[in-house]
Amino acid sequence: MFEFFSEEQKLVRKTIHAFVEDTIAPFAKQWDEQDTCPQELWPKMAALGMIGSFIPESEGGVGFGLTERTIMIEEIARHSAGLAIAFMTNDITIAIIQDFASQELKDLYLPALLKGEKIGSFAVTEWTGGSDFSNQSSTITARDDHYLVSGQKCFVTNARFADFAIITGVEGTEANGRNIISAVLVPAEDEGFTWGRVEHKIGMKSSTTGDLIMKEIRIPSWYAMGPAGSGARVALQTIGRYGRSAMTAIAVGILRGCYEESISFAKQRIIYGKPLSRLYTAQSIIAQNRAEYEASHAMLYNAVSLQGHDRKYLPRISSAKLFCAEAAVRAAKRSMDMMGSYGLLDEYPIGRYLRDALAVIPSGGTSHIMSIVAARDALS
Amino acid sequence: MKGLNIAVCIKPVPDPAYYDKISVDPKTKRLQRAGAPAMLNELDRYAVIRAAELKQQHGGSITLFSMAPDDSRETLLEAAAYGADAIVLLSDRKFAGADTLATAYTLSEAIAARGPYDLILTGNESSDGGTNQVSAQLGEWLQIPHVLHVRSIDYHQDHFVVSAASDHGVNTYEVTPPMLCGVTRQVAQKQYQTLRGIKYSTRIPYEILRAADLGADEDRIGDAGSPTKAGAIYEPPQQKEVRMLTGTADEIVEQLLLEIRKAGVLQEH
Repeated sequence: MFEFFSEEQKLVRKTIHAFVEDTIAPFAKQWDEQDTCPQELWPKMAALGMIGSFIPESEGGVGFGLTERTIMIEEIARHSAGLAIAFMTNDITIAIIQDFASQELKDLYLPALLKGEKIGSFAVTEWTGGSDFSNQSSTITARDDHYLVSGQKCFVTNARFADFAIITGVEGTEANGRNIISAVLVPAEDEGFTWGRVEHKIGMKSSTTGDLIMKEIRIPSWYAMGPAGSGARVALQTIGRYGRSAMTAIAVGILRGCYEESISFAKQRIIYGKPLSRLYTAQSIIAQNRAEYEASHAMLYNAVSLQGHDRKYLPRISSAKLFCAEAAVRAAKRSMDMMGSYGLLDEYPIGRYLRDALAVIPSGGTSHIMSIVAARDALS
Repeated sequence: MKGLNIAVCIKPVPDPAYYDKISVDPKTKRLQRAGAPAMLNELDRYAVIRAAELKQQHGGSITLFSMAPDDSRETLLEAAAYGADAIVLLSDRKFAGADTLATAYTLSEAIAARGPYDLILTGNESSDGGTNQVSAQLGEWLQIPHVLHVRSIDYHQDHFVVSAASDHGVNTYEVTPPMLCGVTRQVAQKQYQTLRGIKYSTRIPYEILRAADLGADEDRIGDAGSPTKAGAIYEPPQQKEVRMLTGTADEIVEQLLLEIRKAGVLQEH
């Protein structure tokens, strides 16, 4: 376990833990079954200051760092990994607007986002795959004082209900033939903006995922995120800083769920006339769950605390994501094994944890991509 | 009046989830709480929330007072995150063993030294002691009007309007400051601290007062100032007796009802 939290960070965890226990835990199963994202929680989370907590106080945020945000996401994911990814995606759009948008666009969107009155989505991936970033077919065509945006995005979190999408697309080609990738904000109410098919995922079902179809959407030129060609920086910087840490936090939240639920079940289940927890096989599973949870927790918060201070942040958080996501799958699977047939019942959350853990792996970079990042750094 | 100057007394209490870790020292008869993490007494939480609401409506400031060990900072900050402006911790080995009278006296000395306050709030009782005595005793030591079982507090121009539960209903009082209220959970809606509140809580003045700082009468603090002395403390023996009932279902029900009535749980009609 990482144990070097500040007083503020400990209080953040305590408060968000109480909020999650009261507001999220009792409903997480229902959201999962109904395959729905509880948008009604946004104003409540905003009232506490959870949304965009990293925005400076002078601009309406709380001015917290990445560690506080990671604590919040872990606490949410302890009971609802789906809501956690919806929350983190919205936060990513806030970070992009804060770091790259024009002042007019900040004034237009940040106050409403921080109040939970608007929800954002971030649309990068196309059918060619998320890792093949430069091979995009969506287009951002500059005109005199506006852009025309066309194309199709897939696996868009917060699809269907987001008020806008920050999208990446090709704005032209360089002399060497490489695509110039830019990023712009596209309001959902604009003509030509259509949500496409909704995906029915096996896990993280408390978030919606779907397609975005854009047909010659006309947006003002000040809706651009930075100058032409900033798309890669917008996407990679934000995903690296806010996305990967959040997905790792979600994995750690799931791990904690597996650890706590396996203890609870082992104490309550009577077998051979005594609690299951008395059997060595159950103790061994609980010990493995504990070891992987504690190791994951330490890796995550150690990496997060380095962000902004150490150039090794990216390989460290990538290593953490690789380990924690795979550990969450292992912990959920072994906890189900311990529970026998009970592990298969929806009455217990462990099956949901396994589905959620599997869904963490491709989100924010697969384990294979994380391995490449970690290995390249190790071999450099 | 330039806003309300409010004092709130709070108490770290053992987390009920860890009550099985608490024991009683057979010699001192005091609770051994080391195995149970502390949490904010729940009714004190409502007291701080209502204080913050009154401050928001009328301006002023909130000071938290607590007689607790040095390691209580986290619990005090948790309370302060609702909107307090200062924390005063009364901590000294000489305060140990205080009963309600000595506790109220110690708090009154600190409040009088840091005051004056228009309003002093306490939780009506604590979840560990549950004596319901400190609020009234504190009001008496401070020689100010005090109302217990308070369900609502409002401030109108120059007086408080306070509703309090009694055995016969709800009484409403109009009281001019200063006054003390022991509050119930009806006094405010439960709220979570905001992240901004948490951030500020770690930056407000945090003062630790020892017995010498208070200049209090040493015969009135801690064990020396406590007329309450614990008598014998024992755990009643738990005896289980299993007796199998036989017969038809109706006969078993009859026998069962007879046993329940014999145990005094059901009355004959």
